[in-house]
Amino acid sequence: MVKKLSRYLDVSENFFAFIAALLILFITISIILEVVFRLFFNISFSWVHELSEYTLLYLPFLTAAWLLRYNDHIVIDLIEPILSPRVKYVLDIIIILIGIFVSVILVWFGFITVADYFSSGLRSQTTLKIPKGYIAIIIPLGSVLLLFEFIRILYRKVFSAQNLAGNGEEGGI
Amino acid sequence: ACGTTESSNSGAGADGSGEVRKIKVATFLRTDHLYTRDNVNMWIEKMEEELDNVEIELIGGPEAVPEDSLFSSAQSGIVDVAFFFGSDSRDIVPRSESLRLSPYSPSEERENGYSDWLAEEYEQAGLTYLGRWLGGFGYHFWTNKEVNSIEDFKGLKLRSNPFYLDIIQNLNATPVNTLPGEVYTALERNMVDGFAFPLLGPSEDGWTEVTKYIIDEPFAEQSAVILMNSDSFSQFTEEEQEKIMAITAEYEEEMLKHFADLNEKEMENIQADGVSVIKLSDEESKKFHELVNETIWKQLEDFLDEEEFEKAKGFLLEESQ
Amino acid sequence: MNWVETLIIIVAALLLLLMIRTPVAIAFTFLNIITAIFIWGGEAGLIHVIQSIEGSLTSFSLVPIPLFIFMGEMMFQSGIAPKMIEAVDKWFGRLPGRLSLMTVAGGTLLSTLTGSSMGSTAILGSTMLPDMRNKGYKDPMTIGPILASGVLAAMIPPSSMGVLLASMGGLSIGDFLIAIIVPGLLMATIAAVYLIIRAIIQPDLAPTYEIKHISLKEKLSHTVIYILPLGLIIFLVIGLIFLGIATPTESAALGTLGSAILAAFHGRLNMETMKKSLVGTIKITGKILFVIAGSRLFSEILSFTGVTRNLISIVQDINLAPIFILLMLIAILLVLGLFMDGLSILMISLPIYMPIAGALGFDPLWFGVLILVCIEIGFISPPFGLGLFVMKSVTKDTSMGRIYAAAFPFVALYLAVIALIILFPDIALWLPSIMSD
Ligand code: NA
Ligand code: NA
Repeated sequence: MVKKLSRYLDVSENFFAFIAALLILFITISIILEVVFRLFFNISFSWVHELSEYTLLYLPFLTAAWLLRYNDHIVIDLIEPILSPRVKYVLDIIIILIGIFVSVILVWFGFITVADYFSSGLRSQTTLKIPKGYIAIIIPLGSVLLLFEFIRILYRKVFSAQNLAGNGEEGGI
Repeated sequence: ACGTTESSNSGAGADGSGEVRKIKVATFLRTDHLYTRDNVNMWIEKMEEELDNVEIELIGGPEAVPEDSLFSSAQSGIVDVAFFFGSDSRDIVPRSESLRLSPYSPSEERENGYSDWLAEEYEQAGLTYLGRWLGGFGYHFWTNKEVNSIEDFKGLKLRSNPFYLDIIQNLNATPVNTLPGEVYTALERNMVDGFAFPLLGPSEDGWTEVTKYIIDEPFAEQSAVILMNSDSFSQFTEEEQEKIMAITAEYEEEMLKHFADLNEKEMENIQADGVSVIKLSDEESKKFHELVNETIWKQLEDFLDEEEFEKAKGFLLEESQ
Repeated sequence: MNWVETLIIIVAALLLLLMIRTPVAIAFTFLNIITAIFIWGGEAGLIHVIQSIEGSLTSFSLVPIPLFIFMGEMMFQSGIAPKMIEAVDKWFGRLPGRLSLMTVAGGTLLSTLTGSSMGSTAILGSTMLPDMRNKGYKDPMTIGPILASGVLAAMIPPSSMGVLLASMGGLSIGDFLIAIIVPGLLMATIAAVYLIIRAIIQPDLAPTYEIKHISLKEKLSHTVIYILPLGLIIFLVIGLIFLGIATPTESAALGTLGSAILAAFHGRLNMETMKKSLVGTIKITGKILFVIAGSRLFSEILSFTGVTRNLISIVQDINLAPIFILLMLIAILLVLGLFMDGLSILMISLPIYMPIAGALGFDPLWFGVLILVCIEIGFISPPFGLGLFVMKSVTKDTSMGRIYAAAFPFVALYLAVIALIILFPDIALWLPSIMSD
């Protein structure tokens, strides 16, 4: 059961990361095309700027959980060398709980904001007039995965401590 | 804690309690911008002078409340008063899209009922419409190529934003998206041939260093409004509320004069900077304004339902046509 | 609660969170959430948090970050960057610390392409660092010069920070962009001189490995194969900006195209390279943008609560000789730079700083240059410099302590540059003055 859920999480995170990679390719190519078309055909795509901006919001939320799985977020590890395993373990639990709290808020209020956007019919103040709900929705979606990833790390921490495994766990804070 | 829950519950009490009401003001533009630096304080000083026990705190510009959340911050009471600008509100208050089509002065708008019509819809969004904080001047095209007719716009690369994208396209010019910080470089290197902006601003931002012409055909009005969170507004007694409206109406007159003076001086300044003023021939001027107005009215038509659109026309076109 | 208490509590809480190794993005967001509940009330405040994240990231001015990182990854993953470094290496001979010097030289060159210090640091980090490490270079000679050179992006035109500062401060943009050139080059020179001295004193930091005698023919052929095409691409990109075909932001995308063409030219543009570059790009970009979202709202909260306004306006009430006020103004910028990002500092400080400068009779151009250098020092000054975070994200196995240690000497050197500009205002004013004649 747990293993299966864990697999689903991996697959979802990989899928999100894959989308992020596609978005990078997309903005690079569309900006190049915009320059080329403007130069040779005097045609300008007003959507290029706009979609690039949304990509910037999508990127961190598409990759947040995936980066956490590989323990790859930016951390100031100044005191890392002087921590005893026991203190480190306690601090890790605290950090994970903070992470869970943050993700829950981002998920909950993210969805509230998105629902507000959709119900008030808010659109981007641009040419495409994209409903803002579609832009902001990545915040709660990405945070759902981030939340599950924090929970998985917590589960592994607690579980491996019970078994006195001590080390050998994948990822984690 | 200095949130709004506190102030909105504090109730009336102009004389009795002597409790100080704190009003947080945030502005759409940075507070040292030409459009805000003296102007916003004129309103604040008037308010503090004429209302008892009111303390107004200017929170700041986009560094404190970013442009795109200013409207919702005023709605939710994170700030009490927003010196708001632009189109961020148009989905919630569609009528506000008509602001830039008004040919009237703020006092005329109050008289002919246009202000009330706007205020009605703002109120539904949880905001009290107090008045306007910019006015009396429109936008100009500034170019580096001489433009003497509509035909001359053809093929020009103009810095664009959603506000005048349609106008640029209808003039058969090419819109180019350019960040504010890149406009100077873009002009200098002929990346763009021009941009649209009111008379005031480009000189202070240094853009006139790299701009040759201004086409002296101002179009569209400023959609800059002062909005107060309705709960914050209702903490004042009815008498005070009327006073706030009167203060703002009085302020609008001073504001208009303030900008009229600045604009007059600015016309001289930019020419001293080496910008030549181009005046279109009567015929071309007429064609230009028809094209621009048609474009903006067309945009508004997409935004308002038929009945509302007719109402907007009733308020704003009646006498001018 | 007054602003001093607010400041102390917020900053202490942030430091504590970061100390216990909370991921930077999570720490900022956590604190933003708590503060939002406290000052704006539950629901309204937390919706504001979500809107702020959305608003601060959907900004075109951040677009060069992923593009430049992508460009750097492509150059590195395709093996072009290491080859290029080797080719230059052949010319540099036995110069002490030559790869570090190359970093500074490359960073200066790159600065003429990009106006974004973050992008520049990312590209230098992902191209130069791995190879320097292979050659046995230690942090002070690798991370240090990369950070030091990343800063130059804002000091040598095009500079988006420079343009913003000039337009917000009411300076002539043209004059200001010229005024920052000499200070920028001075920074590069001082960094280079320091690196040479350090390499001579501590040769083990930058080992001068045995170099085989290389024939002129080999030097030339490597130059033609590896450097010349790169030069063409650089000139192509600069040319496109110069000819008004692309904006500096767009040129970042064209640079990526350039590096792809170059990779294809060397037969290295394949699925493997593409995949690795993209994975590297989303990793670095993802974590940097998450941190930016958090730190931007953090700065907004500091402004909203009046902390920053009060901190800066202390100076207004003080009665001291102009030079002391100047030093205080600089000190405040440096303190803000410890915790905040450059753009936020600009927005907060300029409205108060420029009038003070006017009242004290400072040359606004010279004063603007000082502000820009201060802000760029903040970019690499511990504990929170976006440059340090970018560095950490391109070299995740390096501890933050080592990055801080490598940054310190350059923070000190750039402080010395500030002192020099104060003592010799001509460093900033000479070039604009001859240009206007
Ligand atoms: Na630059
Ligand atoms: Na810093």
